[in-house]
Amino acid sequence: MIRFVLLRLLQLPLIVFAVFLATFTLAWLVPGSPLEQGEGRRPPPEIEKAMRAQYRLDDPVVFAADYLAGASGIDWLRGRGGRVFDLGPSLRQPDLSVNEILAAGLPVSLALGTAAILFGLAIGVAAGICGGLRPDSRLDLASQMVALVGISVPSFVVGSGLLLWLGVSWHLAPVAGWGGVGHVWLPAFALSLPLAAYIARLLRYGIIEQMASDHVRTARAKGRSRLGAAWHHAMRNAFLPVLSYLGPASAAVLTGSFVIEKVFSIPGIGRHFVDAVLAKDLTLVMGVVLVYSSLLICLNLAVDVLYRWVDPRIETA
Amino acid sequence: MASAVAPYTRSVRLAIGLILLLGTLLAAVIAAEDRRPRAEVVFAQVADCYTLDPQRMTYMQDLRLARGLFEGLLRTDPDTGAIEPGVARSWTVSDDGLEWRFQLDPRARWSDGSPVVAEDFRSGLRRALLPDTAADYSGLLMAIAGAPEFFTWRSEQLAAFKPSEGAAERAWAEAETQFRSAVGIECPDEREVIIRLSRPVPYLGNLLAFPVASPVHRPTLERFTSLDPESGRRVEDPGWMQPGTMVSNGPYQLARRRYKRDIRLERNPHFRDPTQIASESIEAVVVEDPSTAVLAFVAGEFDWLTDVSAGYRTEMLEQQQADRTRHAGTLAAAAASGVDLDTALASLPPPADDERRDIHALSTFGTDFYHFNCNDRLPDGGLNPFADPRVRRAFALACDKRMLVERVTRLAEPVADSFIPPGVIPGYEGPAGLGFDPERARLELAEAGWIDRDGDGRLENAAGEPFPVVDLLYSTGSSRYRDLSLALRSMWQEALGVEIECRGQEQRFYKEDLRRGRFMIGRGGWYGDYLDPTTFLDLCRTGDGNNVRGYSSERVDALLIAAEAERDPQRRFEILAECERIVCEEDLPILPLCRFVTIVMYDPAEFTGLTRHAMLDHRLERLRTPRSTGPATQADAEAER
Repeated sequence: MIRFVLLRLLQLPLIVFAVFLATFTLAWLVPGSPLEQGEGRRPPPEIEKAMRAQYRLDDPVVFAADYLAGASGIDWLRGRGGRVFDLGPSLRQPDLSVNEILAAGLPVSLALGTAAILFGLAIGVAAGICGGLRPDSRLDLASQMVALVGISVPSFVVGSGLLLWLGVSWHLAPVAGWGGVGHVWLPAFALSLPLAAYIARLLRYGIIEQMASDHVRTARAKGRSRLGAAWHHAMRNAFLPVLSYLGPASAAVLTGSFVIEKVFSIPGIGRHFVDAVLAKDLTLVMGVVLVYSSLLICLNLAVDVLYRWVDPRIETA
Repeated sequence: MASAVAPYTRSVRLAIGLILLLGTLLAAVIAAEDRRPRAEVVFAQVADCYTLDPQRMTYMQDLRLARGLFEGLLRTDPDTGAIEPGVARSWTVSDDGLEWRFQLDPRARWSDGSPVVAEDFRSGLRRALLPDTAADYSGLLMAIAGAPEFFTWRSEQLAAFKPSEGAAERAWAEAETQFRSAVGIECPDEREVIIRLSRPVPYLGNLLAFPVASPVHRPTLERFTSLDPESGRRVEDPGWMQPGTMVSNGPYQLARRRYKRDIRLERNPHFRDPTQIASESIEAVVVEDPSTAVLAFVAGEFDWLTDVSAGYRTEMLEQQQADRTRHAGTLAAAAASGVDLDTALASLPPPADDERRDIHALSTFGTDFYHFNCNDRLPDGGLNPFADPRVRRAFALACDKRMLVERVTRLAEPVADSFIPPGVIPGYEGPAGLGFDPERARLELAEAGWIDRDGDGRLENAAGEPFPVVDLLYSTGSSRYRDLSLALRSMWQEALGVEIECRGQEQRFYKEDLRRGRFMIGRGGWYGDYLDPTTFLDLCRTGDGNNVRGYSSERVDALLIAAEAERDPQRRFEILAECERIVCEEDLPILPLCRFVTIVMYDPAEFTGLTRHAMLDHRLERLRTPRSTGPATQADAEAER
């Protein structure tokens, strides 16, 4: 197990480096200049030259090498001082460093994702159990219907609809922004719907299958009530696929809430990334990619380790 | 069976553990939030501030906040655009117009209580003029004697810089001496600033009212400034702009700044004239999604929405128009008796269900136009018929602008036949422009030699070459330019019988194509920075950085130079008007379409203090809501009215 974890941790810098190179090349090749501004205004040529020199934008190799030395902590190890992992200044937001932007946005995205996972679990498990125990009942049909909508309707539609209905008409939640519990629940709910829908479907099929299996039938024959048999015998196995789905789903929810962040005006990191790409803010693009890819790799590693702990029969390749 | 028990028990434990962990994380993040009471004025803007550095800023939303944070020597009256005292309580201009002397108000204080002195202004101007700062608007200050030379000198000094022990310090000491001796800014004592110019600039007051000429708080800035031993440049850590660190001299100080979220300003307790401040605290919240912004405004979360771009705004404006029409008589009577529009609107009975009074279209100091490529040949060597001014005139004459603003943009913007928005610059009378005349358009085209010579329905020139398919370039960011371009295409095809291909490009590709001249007609647009015709006409100068059209006219260049030398303001405006006439009636490097309007939302009965003057130079200290408790009371404001 320890060997497995070490091996994976050793791979991490290599994978991150490959991701960095690919993203940097693509981002550099995009036309336009990060120094340019809206409405066609360009800084005078001599100013633009001064800016290019200031940000070392003249040579991609120098820029990439400089950036990597700062971001990977090499500069810090060489005693250059500053932050350990210095992701540089944002080219579009001269007042802020990429570290500051990420430090402000990451907790928000993580909190939103976390709330969405909790919501998704609560709704999904409840709907899945109802549907699984009483397949084809009205309740089941209703929950399946909701699940279908949750999976297939894009989140910007669901988000806007919820805003209009619960926020503007019923005043149940503030419409935009971030800060209190009131601000969290509505976007988290919108973000959780696809997750809840998948969990509900996985669990429903799992329970239906398990309820029809030999060992549950034996338990029923021995006098277990329907609910008792479900709780003690069917759910055990029905929950395993949900668990294996939760790993990658959590990673996706924690990192992929761009649309919801935009609709609900939440200052998370997903929005920064898209805006940075559009504005060709190279340092911010690279910073988000480095942090996200490291985060994703670590999350996947954590999931693999937890699998092994949960079910030692699983081979760790 | 036994082996399955372990995974189940463990997965239940794991699930409970994870839920607890996630719940704690969530609670921690929410608990860590900074919670202050709602600000007295809360407004929403579509984009976050780019920078709060007054010398480097260029964006509208940044400039708006800068005017709340910093006060320059002079200010402009938001309602008229006239120059009024700022930190300088009085000023004199020498007879030749080359020397301006400013006497500072002794009450002027920084937010830390220290006095604002002349040297703070000189440092601010020096900062703007240093290539190290790379201040985009430094061009506004290049009329100061010695300023362009100093900029070039320092640029060359930095280019030739060789790193060595103490070299950066020596270079900087030299630059400081050079600035003191060569640039026409002097501070004879703490209360006087003298600015000498290399040529008279009648609108210098407008330029000095711009945030680029703000003073800097030297002790704070110096703490964050260092010299880069590698390049010799002065490097500033943006830490000086953080809340709690930044020291400002305007009516407000920075209390909180959260990226892509909000900026909170609170009253500067040391501001020289507290009676000017209507609200104690102001919050600018970033809401990027246009629809969310409107919904949040309707739900009562904001007092003012600075820019409404949701697609359904045209329907909202129709509802506004219905309300205005119903009360047209009352509003006209109010206007006749000198009551401003917002006060009149606030006194009306509430609007009907299908009407609204909280949306407003404000005309700006900006012109929406299309570029004509004036180069002889296209970059690929292809024939460019638009090199001929007669062809450009023909296309301009065949454009029905009224139809465009009524049926395509549907914002009823004022139609523009000239480059500079008329009636905004006091004393300046621009030309009438060309107007809509398809008959004359066809004549112009025929005069340029484009006639259907062989009866195939296509135009050919004398050499028999067919009129090339016109490449019409637009940006795809919003639907505005797609719609306008398609409408222009059908207009021109019908009136002139030419073939046009619309080419939509994503913003960056569009700009790249514009810069490289890869277009025949391209979407443009310009907002004036200060109340003088040159803020527009400089774009027509040969070789100007923003002249992507390749337009070059000796007459226009000569007139612009003549205007620089002219001392009589009226005569100067006449020269500039002639220059604009050549641009808008003869040469047409651009095709003006309409004035830009900004759509904003606020309830005139609840929110006051905005200006309707085209510069839209809204002053934060004038903004007032029913929650406002500022020293300038409601009664004061009414008495003033």
